[in-house]
Amino acid sequence: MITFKDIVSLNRKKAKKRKLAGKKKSFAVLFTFLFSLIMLINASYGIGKIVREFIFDTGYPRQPMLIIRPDLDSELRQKSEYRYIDDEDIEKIEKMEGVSAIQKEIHFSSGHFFVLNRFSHIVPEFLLGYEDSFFNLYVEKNEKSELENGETDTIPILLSENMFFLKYVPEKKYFIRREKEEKAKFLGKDFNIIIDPFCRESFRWKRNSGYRNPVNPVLEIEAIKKRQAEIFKDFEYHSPGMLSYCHPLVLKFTIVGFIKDKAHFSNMPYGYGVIPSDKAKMISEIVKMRMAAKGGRRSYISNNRHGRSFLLVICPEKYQEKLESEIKKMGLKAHTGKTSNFKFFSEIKKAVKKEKSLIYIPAFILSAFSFFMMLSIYKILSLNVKDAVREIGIMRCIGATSRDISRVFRHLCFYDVFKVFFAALVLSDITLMFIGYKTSVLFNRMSYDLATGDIGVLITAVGDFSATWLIAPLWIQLLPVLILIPVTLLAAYLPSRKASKIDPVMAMKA
Amino acid sequence: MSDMTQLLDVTVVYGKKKNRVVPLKNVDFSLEKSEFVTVTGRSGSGKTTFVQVCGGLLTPTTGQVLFEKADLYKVNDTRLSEIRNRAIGFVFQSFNLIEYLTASENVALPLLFRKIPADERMEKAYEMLKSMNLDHRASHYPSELSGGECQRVAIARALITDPTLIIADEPTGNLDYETGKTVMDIFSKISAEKKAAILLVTHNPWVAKVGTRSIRIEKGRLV
Repeated sequence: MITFKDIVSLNRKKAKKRKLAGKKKSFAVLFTFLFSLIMLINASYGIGKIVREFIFDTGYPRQPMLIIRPDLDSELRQKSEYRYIDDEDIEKIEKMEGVSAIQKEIHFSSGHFFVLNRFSHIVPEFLLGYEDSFFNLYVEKNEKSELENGETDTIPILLSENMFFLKYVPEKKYFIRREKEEKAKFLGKDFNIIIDPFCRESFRWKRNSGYRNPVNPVLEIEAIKKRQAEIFKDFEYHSPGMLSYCHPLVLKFTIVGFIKDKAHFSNMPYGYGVIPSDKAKMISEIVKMRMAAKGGRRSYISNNRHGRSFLLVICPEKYQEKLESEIKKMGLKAHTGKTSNFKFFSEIKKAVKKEKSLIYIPAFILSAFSFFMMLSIYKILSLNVKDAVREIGIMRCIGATSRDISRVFRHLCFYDVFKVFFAALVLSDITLMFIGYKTSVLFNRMSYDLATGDIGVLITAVGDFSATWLIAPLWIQLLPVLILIPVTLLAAYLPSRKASKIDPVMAMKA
Repeated sequence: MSDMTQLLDVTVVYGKKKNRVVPLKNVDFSLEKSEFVTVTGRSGSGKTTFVQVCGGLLTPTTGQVLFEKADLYKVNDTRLSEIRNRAIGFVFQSFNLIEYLTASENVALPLLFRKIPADERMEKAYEMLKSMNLDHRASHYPSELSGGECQRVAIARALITDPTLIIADEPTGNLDYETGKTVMDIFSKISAEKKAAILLVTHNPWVAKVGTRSIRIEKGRLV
């Protein structure tokens, strides 16, 4: 029987003689072009990211939130008038007990808390990666509700750029949009703060921690639980979801000042807050663990431009009830998809659904395109076989078995078809990026930017471009491949089978 | 002398009903080893069908074809292909060389289907071309060769497997007299030296005389 090496050699000679080399060159050019395009996009993303992080200084993990613990009678606390903290102050703060260790390592991100506004226009792209059941807990804090009843004056805010984006109105006991001159009112005030030292999804106990025990998972779980209990026993609050994800912690802190030099694109200074030292140490430990677990991922928090502040807690449905009760204990109003008919849920679901549905269009087009493209290839290959009928006849006459013929043509067909297959893959990915999902997200954000005149967000959007890549559902990315594979195989197999069935006498007559 | 190929009451029918054609009718024929038989007849008389049946290319509708005492059409495709590869060499009027292979590669092609290493088969092909005085054309493609040269390459390809039967379907049909004569000299030489049986179809009376026996086919019957 003819060997594979012979087949390859035979087909190469055929290609060479038929001047297919030129076509190969075209393919090479096409591939180079497509890959260059992808590289360019990646490079653009990289540049966007650099611009974002180094000019606007907003990118995770470059978000230094310093947790300090000055004494109540310290000089810093005694400052009676508002001013920015100067270098000297920072130096003093950094010398305080326990601060430097935390300062070095701590990076906060509020992955579980997204401040959403104008969600009908913008759905942060990370939300698209969630199932509907995750949109189940909504904490509202800008309505009069309990706050006005004087039940509590502790308000959870985010340790992020949004932290001082809001203005605290003591008489109404809620935040509205920040005004610079109002900053002084923060000083010396105590707030509860929700932090998420682990970041969303990044800290997987089972996967990343040193407690991993692939031999005995039961021991692993026990070890994790024990350690969790040790860590969290002193926290005022922790969510029931901590077993698999680390949910937010609520700690009381006091704002002691502001620092100007780390401004991000909204010209928002970072704040310094105060928490008790034992908590600070604990956070430090947690952060160390998180860092050991290779840190987290950047989260996205949209700016609140309208003085409305919503906290959307995204957690698995099974934790919803407990978390809701915990949040209510904090004196906050909580809505869930099940317990409330609040429009928010239906609107955000609708918006997400709309965004998601956009994916189906390019996916469908791509799949159809891939299918018909492969049909065309099949046709072309069939014609190739037709062209080669005489050649098949000759080979049969000199002793080629039908199996040999099939193998020769199968190789030839597969070779051609797979060239097209990979081209189709690259094309489909680019199409997904530009026509489909990514474009919808990008344009959505751009339209928002144009409407609000904030070009900074646009740049951020470009910088964040690849984030959409990561969260495009896997099946969408795989769909063209899944369709292409069987069609490719058939497109290559059927003509070769056809070739092997050709009668030598009829072939010689061709 | 023993029979190499035997056709026993062979009939070939093409098509059905109105389109029914019977190019061979109840043909009985035997070809002995080393015999050089020329087949003549008018166009459409069934000459080509006859040699195709003899060469294992066309399964007869009825009758039996024995090749070296084995029923040629009762073996499977692989075995039949093997017989064609090892024992039968074909030479055609239109040469039927593969255009994207050089002369030597065309000659070596039958050996490729035998899993013979490339070096060995190319060496053998070169030797074969040399015997046809075509060694200087070994790396030329068919389009770069003359008709006579192409036919000699085709003959070399037929001979490379040392077949016991060579079937030539009008090998001189596309050649001028001089070139045709050269080609026929080669066939005579093969018949004499290699002791291979030759079944040669021709229209030319002078070619028909080259063989040791001449048969004529008319309307599908041997006469």
